[in-house]
Amino acid sequence: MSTESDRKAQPLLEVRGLKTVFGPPEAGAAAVDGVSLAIGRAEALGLVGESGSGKSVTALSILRLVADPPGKIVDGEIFFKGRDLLRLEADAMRAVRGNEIALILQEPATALNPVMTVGSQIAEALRLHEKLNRRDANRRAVEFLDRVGIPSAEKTARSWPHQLSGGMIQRAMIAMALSCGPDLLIADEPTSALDVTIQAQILDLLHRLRREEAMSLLLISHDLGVVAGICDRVAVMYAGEIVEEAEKDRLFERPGHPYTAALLRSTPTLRGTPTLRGTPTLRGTPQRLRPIPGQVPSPSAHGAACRFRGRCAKAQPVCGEDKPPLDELDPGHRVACFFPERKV
Amino acid sequence: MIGKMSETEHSQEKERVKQDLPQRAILEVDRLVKHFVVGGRGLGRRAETLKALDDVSFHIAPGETLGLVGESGCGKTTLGRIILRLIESTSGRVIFDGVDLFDLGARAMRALRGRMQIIFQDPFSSLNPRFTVEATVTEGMRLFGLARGRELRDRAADLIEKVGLPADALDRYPHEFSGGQRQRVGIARALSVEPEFVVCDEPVSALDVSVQAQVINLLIDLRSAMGLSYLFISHDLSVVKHISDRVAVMYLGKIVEIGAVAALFDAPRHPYTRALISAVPVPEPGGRTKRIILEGDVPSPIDPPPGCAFHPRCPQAQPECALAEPPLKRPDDHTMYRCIL
Repeated sequence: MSTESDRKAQPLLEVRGLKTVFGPPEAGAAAVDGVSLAIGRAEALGLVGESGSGKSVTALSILRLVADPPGKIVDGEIFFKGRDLLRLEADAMRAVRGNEIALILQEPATALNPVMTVGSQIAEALRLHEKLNRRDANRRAVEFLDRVGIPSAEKTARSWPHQLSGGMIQRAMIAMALSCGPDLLIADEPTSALDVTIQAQILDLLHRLRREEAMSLLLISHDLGVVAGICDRVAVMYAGEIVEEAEKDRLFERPGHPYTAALLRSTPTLRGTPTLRGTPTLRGTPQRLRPIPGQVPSPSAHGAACRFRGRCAKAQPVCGEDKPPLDELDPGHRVACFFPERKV
Repeated sequence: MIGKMSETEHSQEKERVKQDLPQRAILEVDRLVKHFVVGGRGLGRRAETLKALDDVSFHIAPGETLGLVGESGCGKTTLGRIILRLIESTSGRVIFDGVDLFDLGARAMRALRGRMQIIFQDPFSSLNPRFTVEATVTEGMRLFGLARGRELRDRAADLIEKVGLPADALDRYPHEFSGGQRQRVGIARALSVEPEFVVCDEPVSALDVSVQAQVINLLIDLRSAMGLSYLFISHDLSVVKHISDRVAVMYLGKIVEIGAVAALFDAPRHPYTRALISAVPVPEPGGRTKRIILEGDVPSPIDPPPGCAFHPRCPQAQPECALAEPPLKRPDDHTMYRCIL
């Protein structure tokens, strides 16, 4: 593919044609259906989409953490530093997880072991992966807690998870993820369960650490705003497929896929001022939003067709007859649509 | 106690309500306080007091939407429920259309409930899974004697159409619907008894962006069609900005600022409001450049900081902020905030 030419020669991670199916083999539904993406070294890719679009399953598939059964990776290749992760032995894969690719999840409350202190959980990872002795591991754990901005790190290391707030637990999770110096951090909705002021802290932290560590980041979020803050490129998923991928600024300025454009239009933002309506001056003007009509189709309704066509204002008969390929609209900007949005 | 409204301030408040509104407020919340007792009972366990609401006052005019924003644990949901007397307050008054709700007996309160309704956040747990949509939507009408027999089904069909559900939805069960559709059922149920005032408690937080916009539009349309007043509770400032006339900002059980929506978002007066607005991620190229990042967590409402509860996180805190509660300021008729600056 020509997009690869202007990307760094060898991407750190390259997923090709990934297909992950849930349910019985003959009637299974593809949660991820032919996803291809690449992340360069020290690059941050945002993966956005609504619930059920397949973002999280993509992340879990990369780490081979999809529960089997009911899930199964049935097709594709996942090249990480030149090796196909899908062909690794279980032992070799275990060495990749945590050491080379780390994962942080949405639900901070369930992510830590409730009967181990925070410090000892990080130390455990260090002892396993870095073969440190107990004392050194504990010392390093405190260092990492300090690096992620946890006040009085030594005291926090001795705390139990229930004594920490959601924001602090997410910091501890990031400390644990970083402790083994991974090349790639996958963050799956890392701030969705957090309040907005705490979300700002965590996003700021991720942004800073990524630069300091020259680490690659796959940031999964349903929130376009979250992705806009810290990613270099953004890929948009819809019903198991990537429908658009572009440099972040390009995507927000000139979205090419009607779904991306509609998603941006339907998102309420703080932009623009509601005008005060004549008298009495008290009243605002409720601003109607521009929603996307209908709902995401169920996987059984797919076929060789554009999956967004039922909700798309630009849909034509051809959209129901053929699947639009993810083609380049411009260099570095790929769109899966027969009628992509052009410059306005 | 500093910060509590004096009697003169209180009468000014009443005067204000008269001045800027053609009719009297449909809802008036007056110095509401709610304490929960937590812990205790067991050996050596000390009971502690959690101040969920502390001196909360505001009013809502007929046809007005008051947005209520704040982070989790600030007391927004408690406030919504106390207004409907789903939980009882510790002190203060809630006056609905001239009637002090806390004076009412159970029977009189039940009669009033038809005029005040609530839409819940979670469209999955707020509907009875064994009720068809028709049963869910007609239950209230039947209880309040608004319709009977054949008319019940006709009115249910009207409502279902009004909230944008297909006609065949009446005979189906909640599990057959998506989150957005269930939320429409919840809205139809709330509106079935023809209320004047609706508490919307995070009504779109569980929905995906594209569906969220549909439900927000529906709420906006129904409000003008039926002349409803909303207390619209949300943690999402963008949503609140789109739907509200005025906005109240809560922090640790207190309203720290109230203002007309345009003024509040353009020129927020309280440092917490400023930080909250600046923390919202914006889906724009480059994201946001200038952000105020607050340090630390929201303190526990069991042991809130002395003085201004926000001072430990406030970028502009002064030494005196830790000593006394900031005064309540009213720069103009529509605006109230609590800050020394």
